[in-house]
Parts: sequence; C-alpha cells; structure tokens
Amino acid sequence: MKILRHPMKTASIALVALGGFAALPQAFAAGTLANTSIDNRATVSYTVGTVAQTPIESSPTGNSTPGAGNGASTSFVVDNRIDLTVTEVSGGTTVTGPGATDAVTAFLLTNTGNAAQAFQLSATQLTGGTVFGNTDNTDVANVRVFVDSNDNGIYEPGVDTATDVTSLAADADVTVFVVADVPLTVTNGQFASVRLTARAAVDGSPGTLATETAGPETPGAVDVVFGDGTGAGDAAEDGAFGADDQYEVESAALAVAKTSSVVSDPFNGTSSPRAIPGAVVEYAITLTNTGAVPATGVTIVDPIPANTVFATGQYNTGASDVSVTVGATTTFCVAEAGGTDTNGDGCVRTAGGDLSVSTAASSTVASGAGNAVTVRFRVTID
Amino acid sequence: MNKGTLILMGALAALTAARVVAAADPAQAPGPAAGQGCISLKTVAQTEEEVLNEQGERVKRLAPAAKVVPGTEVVWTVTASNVCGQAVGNVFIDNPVPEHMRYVASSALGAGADIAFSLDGRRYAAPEQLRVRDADGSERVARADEYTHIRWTFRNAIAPGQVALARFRAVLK
Repeated sequence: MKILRHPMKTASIALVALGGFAALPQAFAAGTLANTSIDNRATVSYTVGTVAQTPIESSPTGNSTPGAGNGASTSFVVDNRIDLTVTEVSGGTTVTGPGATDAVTAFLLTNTGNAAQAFQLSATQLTGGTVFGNTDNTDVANVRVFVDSNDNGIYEPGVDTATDVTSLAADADVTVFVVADVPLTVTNGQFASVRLTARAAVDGSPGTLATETAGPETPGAVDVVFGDGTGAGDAAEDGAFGADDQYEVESAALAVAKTSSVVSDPFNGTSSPRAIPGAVVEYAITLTNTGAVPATGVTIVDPIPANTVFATGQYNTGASDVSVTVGATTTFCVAEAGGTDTNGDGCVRTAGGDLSVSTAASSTVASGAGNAVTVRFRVTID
Repeated sequence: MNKGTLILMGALAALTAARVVAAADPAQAPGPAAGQGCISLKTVAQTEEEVLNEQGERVKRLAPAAKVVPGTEVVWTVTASNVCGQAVGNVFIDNPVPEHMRYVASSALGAGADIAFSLDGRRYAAPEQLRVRDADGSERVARADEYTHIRWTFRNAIAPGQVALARFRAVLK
C-alpha cells in the first residue's frame, strides 16, 4: 500500500480545496438558506498495474480527465421552505375595562423558514371557544394589527403603524400587536378572544401571498415548499399560522343602598325618637363595589328630601355636616350651601338643593365589601 | 497509448512526491489515451420519492434531487467505471460531506469496499477510532454528524467495463 501514499496526499489536498469542512456561519433553526448551492465532488485514486495514477475528480455526467480541477461538482440549489410560528406573548389575558381604547394583545411572529419572507397579518374575533380556560362571550371593536417597528415590545400609536411585515429574515422574529377598543357595554367578567393569523408572502411584497411550486422540481431554481405546522385555525403546510389571545373585562360594579333612622325628636330626645316635625333623621348611603377594579371619580348626589331641611354641624363635634366611612376610617366634610365648595373638601349643597359628595375618601370605591363607602348626613323634619 | 506518455506520468509523480516507491514496468501497464484516466467518475444527487407500484403499494424510489429544503435527506451516489482495457487496482474514492450537509449515520455503503471516515480529510479511520475532545477536555468517539469526509477502499480490482459504486446519505442542515 505504500505506493498509495502519493495519491492519497494529492487527494487530501484536493479535498481541502473543495471546502469539505469550511463551516460558514449559518442560521440554526431555519437551516441552510434558500438558494444556497450544495456542491459535491468525489475523487478516485487508483493504480494501473502497480503504477499510481493521477486522481480523477467526479462530474455529474462522468469525468475521466485526471487532475485536480478537471472534474465538476454535482450541485443543486436549496429550495425555499416556508415555515413560521405565531405565539401569544404574555401567556394570559389582557385585562381591560369598558370604554378602553387601544387595548393591546401581543404576539411573536417568527420566520422559521430558510429565506427572508414577507408576512400578511390579519386579526379576527372569535365566537365562543375557550382561550386560557375562558369562554369567549363578547366582542371588542375596531380591531387592528400593527407591527412593533422599534422592537421594544410596547405598542406606540403613531410609531407602530405598519400593518404587514415587509421582510423578515430567516430565524428572525417580530412582535405584532392586535389593538382594539372596548365597548362601554361590556361588563365585568366578560371575555373577548382574538386570533392573529400570519400568512407567508413574497419577500418585499406582503400583498402577494406565497404559493407552493407545483409539480416536479425546477432544477437550478428556488422552489417554494410549505413546511409550517398547525396553528390556531390553520392547517399544517398551508403557509399560515395563527394564535389566539383574549381580552378580559374587569370593571367596577357599584351597588347603592340607602337607609334612614331617626336620631332624635323634640320630645323624646335620643330615646326612642319618633319621626315627627322637628325630629332629626340620618340618611346612610352605602356604595359597594362588586366588580374587579376600583370605581373612580365617584360622586354621590342625593336630593334633600321634601319637607326636610339639611342639618348642619351634625358630625365631628359640630364642625362637619357629612361623614364618610370607609372600613374602620371615618372622615368628615362641610357641605356649603349655594353650590360653591369654598373649602374644596368635595362636599357641597347645589343650588338646586341636592347634596353632592365626592371627597378624597369617597371618590374611589375599591372592590369588596370591606371597602364599601358609607356617606351619612342628617336632615330636620319640617 | 504510447510509452512516452506513461513515462512522463511516472516522472511527474516522482517529481511531486518523493515517496513513490515502485516504478511500473511500462510494458506491463499500458495506460489510457492521452489526457484521459482509466476511471470515469460520476456523482449523482437524488432524493427518495414515494410512488405507487403496479400493486398499488407505496414504494420508495430514487429520483433526481427534488425540492431540497433543510431536513431533506439526499442520496449521493458515486460510480467509478473502468473505461480502460485493463483492470484498475487499489481503488479508493474520497468524498467530502458536502458543505451545509450532515452525514447520516451508517448510511455509507459500497459493495466490496471498506469504508472509513475522517474529521479533517487527512486521517481516515473506522468510526470507533475517530475521537474528538470536547470543550471540557473529555474525549469521546466522534458522532456521525461530525464526519467531514468518507473514503471507500475497494478490496478488489475493477475489471474493464465494470463499475464500482459508493453511496451515502446526507441531510441538509
């Protein structure tokens, strides 16, 4: 075998030149990029009799001319596998409230194919069905789709304006927002599911959906093959992928209760008082929030009952007109007559004779019975 | 084929490599035509496709490489045809695993050939003798996907007009 040493050496050198182990940096998940030429060339070494012959390289049709460089590589170009995934980002619902605008659900679109691709985006509302274990039972409005232009993961109106992805490199991903407005009519505990579907399109032309190359291989050309999996609402190998997200409505739900009790009368004082002229009657208005989020900006307006006169100086050792109790804490305010809240404490009697209360303690009603707000005031019966 | 050509070839070999040991007797080993070797070497790329045979059964057959995308397995077939009037011996075929491809373990075959692999295109050995050192310093047997070259060494001479075949499979990364 010694005689083989020379041919072996030349063969090795030839193989190095062919680049057998030149590993170029390449995308991992997406794989070899489309339109890459895959080249292969073998080399045979042999003897005739005992004479080592010059090695011969292969060619696609058969080569017998000895010597490095006289063969030709057998080659093909890598075709374009279109593959994509869309995943919901937060792993849970987007909590919103009635009347909210630009409520955002976020998705991540990843190009797992082996070529840059454009993607058409569309959002639809689901009817029924379960997302995150919650059944869809309402709809949002004005549903739009925007691409996160600056990759910060936050929807910015006026900045994130693109509605399609013009070009996404192989292995790259981009955040896509579904943005919607929430009708005032939705109520606490309702769910509105939305679905984002991305469809592969011709790179640079999101308006032109990609199509699989029909029929047999086109040698030397980059054929298109759909290799995507099954997403929400789409089939495998259809060039599309969908994912679902959900809006969860959390709102305040206020319940109002009003009670009255006679505090004193001119004859019995505070001992078993009767509702007779001159008696002082206390009204207690209780707001309880059975919703999920605090009610804010709450103003309680109650007409002073006919045939009664608002009684001032009834609380806080005569300094205040109204008491506001939240849990174990009671605060007071002065309800000025004439409609001007001169001391700015949130309590006033309007020109029309109504009591209006919106103090720091009463303007926000947190949810839960322990956070109920009770407003008390007193009147004197004519 | 004249003797002059053969002598010239022998001289070239002697010039480029100091280790050529045996000089052939020109009279016993007439070479091929000028500028041509004794072997015609051909490389073909194919993929398997499923077709229905006459019995309606699904069978796989090889067809010219079609729609190769990452993950596709390509069958590379190298045929060495003896185009001379005399036998060729000590035949071995070297084939690099193509760039962007990963050799499929145990896929190399060749009738009458001993198959060895290499991690650098220089040293060829049986799979269990190819060892690599990991980043942590530990040594292990190389994985098939780490092979960079394959060598088929044919045990017997190839007679005139006969064909030797070497085949392997590789997956596009």
